[in-house]
Amino acid sequence: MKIGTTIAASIITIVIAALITVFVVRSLMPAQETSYDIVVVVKAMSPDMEFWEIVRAGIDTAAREFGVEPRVTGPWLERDIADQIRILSEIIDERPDGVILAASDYEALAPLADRAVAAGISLVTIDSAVAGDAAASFVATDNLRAGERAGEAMAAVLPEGSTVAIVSHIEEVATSIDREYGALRGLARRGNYNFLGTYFSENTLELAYAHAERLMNEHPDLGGIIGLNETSTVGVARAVRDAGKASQVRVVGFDHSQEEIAFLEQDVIQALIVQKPFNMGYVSLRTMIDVLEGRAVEQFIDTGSELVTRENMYDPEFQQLLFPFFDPAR
Amino acid sequence: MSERGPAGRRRSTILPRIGGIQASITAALSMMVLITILFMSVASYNVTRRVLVDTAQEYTAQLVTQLRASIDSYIANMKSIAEVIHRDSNVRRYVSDADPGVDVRESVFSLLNSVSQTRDDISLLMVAGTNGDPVFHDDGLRMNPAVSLEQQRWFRSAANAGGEPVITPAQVQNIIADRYRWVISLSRTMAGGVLLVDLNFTIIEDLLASVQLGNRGYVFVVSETGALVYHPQQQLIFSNLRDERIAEVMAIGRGSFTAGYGSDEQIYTVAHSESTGWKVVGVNYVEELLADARDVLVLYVLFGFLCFVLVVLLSQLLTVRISYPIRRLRESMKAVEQGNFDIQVDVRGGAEVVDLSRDFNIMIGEIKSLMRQNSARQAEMRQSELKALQNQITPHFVYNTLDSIIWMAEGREYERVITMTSALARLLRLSISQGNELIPVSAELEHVENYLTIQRMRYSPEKVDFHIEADPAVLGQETLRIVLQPLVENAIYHGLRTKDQGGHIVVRVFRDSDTLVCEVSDDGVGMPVELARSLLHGDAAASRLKEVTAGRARSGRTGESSGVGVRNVHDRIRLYYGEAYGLSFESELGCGTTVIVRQPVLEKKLEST
Repeated sequence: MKIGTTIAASIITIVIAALITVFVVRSLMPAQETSYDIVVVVKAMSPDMEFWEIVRAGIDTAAREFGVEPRVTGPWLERDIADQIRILSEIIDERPDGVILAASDYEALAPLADRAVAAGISLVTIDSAVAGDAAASFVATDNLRAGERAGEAMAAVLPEGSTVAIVSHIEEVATSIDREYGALRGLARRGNYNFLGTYFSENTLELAYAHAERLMNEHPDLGGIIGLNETSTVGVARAVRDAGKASQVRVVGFDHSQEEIAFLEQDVIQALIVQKPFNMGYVSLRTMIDVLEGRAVEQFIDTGSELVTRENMYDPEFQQLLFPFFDPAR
Repeated sequence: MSERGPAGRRRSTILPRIGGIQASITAALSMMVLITILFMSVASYNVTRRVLVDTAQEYTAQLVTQLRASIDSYIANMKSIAEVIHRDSNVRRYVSDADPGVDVRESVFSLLNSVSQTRDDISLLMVAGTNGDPVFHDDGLRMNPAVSLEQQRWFRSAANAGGEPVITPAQVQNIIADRYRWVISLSRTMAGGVLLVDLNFTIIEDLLASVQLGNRGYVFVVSETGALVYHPQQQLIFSNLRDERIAEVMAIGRGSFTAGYGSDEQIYTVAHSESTGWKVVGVNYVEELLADARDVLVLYVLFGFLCFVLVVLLSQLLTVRISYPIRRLRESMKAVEQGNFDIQVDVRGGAEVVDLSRDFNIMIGEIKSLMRQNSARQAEMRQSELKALQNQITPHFVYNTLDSIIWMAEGREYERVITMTSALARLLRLSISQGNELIPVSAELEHVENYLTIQRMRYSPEKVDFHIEADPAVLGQETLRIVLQPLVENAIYHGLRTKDQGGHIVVRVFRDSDTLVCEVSDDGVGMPVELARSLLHGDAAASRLKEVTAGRARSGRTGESSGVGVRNVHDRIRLYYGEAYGLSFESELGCGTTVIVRQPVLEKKLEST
């Protein structure tokens, strides 16, 4: 009778105490277990693609800091667009928490990006965006601003009224359009320049070289050429060096391959606009974690670019940028 | 007493009462256990935390000291290599001579080459003289045409140092064509030339990067001037995406300090290298160190829960030992409260409880005998009171009647003397006989008839006329004896005697459901309501008893005594049957009075007697 009711009361008390204990223990246990499943799909996995290697180094750094273990995958080379589409669609089927995507093609990957978001996967794009508004954030170099810097750098080494040409990579690509527009705006801001036009290298050294050679032949008064990516810049620099016109034709380019650095030291190239792939990788993962944890993120995050010249290239902050510790041979 | 009974009892059976023994025991023990656990877990957490932090700090201090020592040994090695080359006579000749000749150059090269073979951490050895033809340790290397030695930072530092070896922090060495390597340079001027030893920085970087300080911890190196020599997140720092506490590191020099809050609380441990002026800094995240301390805390919480369960079980046991016997005792007390004095409690439990139940039993026994005594005394008292009340009537009336008889005898009215004497004799027999309080209605009616007969003869048949009506069904019922006679007496003295033309008295007896009703009506002068009420609500019965026994009624006037009689009837009925019964009056001035007597109908009691 009464013993029964007190036993019931005791059992209730013990159950309540057990629930409180479980709650306290769970709140004391660190949230290590709630690690996110994040997949990074880059444009190129080949170790020769130094840019992407450095992006991955940045991602690794952020991964350690935020306690996540992202998988990094992608096609071997940047031009394997179909491969990237296949890889991404396989990943979407695995339903990870988040995908960080560097789209090889602005249009071709857009349907997959939409599908990923529809499947409840958070999407952050880096370096190159996709069409549509699927991505929560786009982490990249502000190419308009980078182009402007290139234009301004050219104006700094070239007297007003000179003739300038641009060698770009691919006509319809967003980076190309933005950089070209920015470069022209940068030039125009500093003075009047005679603009010959923009020529496309289709991402080959040969075509860039040929464009530069032809331009120098057809326009003896040519004062400068702006290369809008690494291949275009190297092709142009080689043509200028081979023509022996290094002192006449000024070259401003993008990125920082070893050959470009040598050209910079030799004063064939006067300035390089250097992106920050390490920051791009780091910031993209940090942004992804912000997205997954429900914090507000910017639609576009500029990871910045630096203007590197012969004078400042061995300054401590630029040495790291031009010669990252990261060693591809390792 | 009874109003809080049922509700209170029901509540106590559902849950242990707040303030009850079980609840108190549970609360006290739980409180004790919780406070102990809380205190112990906080104390041990703090101790564990301190131990863990101290251990980590010590470990980190050893680690950074070791790293510093490794770097120092690399530097020392560079210095000794530099010293070997510096002392070599061929080298001296090569750097000072404007045209040293191929043999000298060859011997310098073989020296550099053989030294470089011994160490794989050496990236570059170079001797450059006034002749403008630097010698490298590897003859496959060529000067970078775009640079000049004089522009190099390490060259200028060496030139300023005046022959002392100078260490230049990590930088990219670009003097070799198509080769850009991170190196630490040792440079030294000698006899118009310069000597350069480059240490492959990748080795130091690997060393530093391989250090694991938890998942988030890391190691970095700053130079004397506070410039970063190595930091795993150097690019982030240059881009202002991340801060490093370089100023604090420089301020403390060596030792350790903590910075940041919450999950970003860090411990910085700094080791200082004398040979390079660098500081090797280990950074630990306190949160990571405390994972073990948290485990200890979890253990304490679980332990606390276990103790709590034990407390509940223990209090259960104590309840069975203490609270349960007390509850049983209480139930027995409740039974006593409700009038059951035949209870004997047999409660087992603690010694105190057994004593308590024994005392309780003794107390119940005492109460029981006291109550028995009390009720016996009360019965006695009532008996004597009733007797006194009945006796009151008789002598008073007998005296008057005998007086009348004497008068009649003197007038020789023998018929009337006989009638009156026989009526008196029957009256007295009915009054005295039996001693029973209850008599049949028929006997009571006979009594009152005899009385009225006597009274009519004393006054006159005109003055007192009477009529008795009785329902034959009620004749066998029981009534309290001598109930009607005082009422009739009252009717005569109050209603008829003062009325000149005489009056009529009607006695009616009938049954009204469970009530035996006797009515005595007169058509006399009537009385005011106040008087009627005062007849019933006078002093208490006890004081009247005194009055009666003191004989005041006897010496008093007849009017008074009849009032006392009516009140006696009322009090007796109520004493016997309770408050619900007794007399009531219906009276109208000038028209008469009716006195109604109500008694309960007691079925079948008559047969048994």
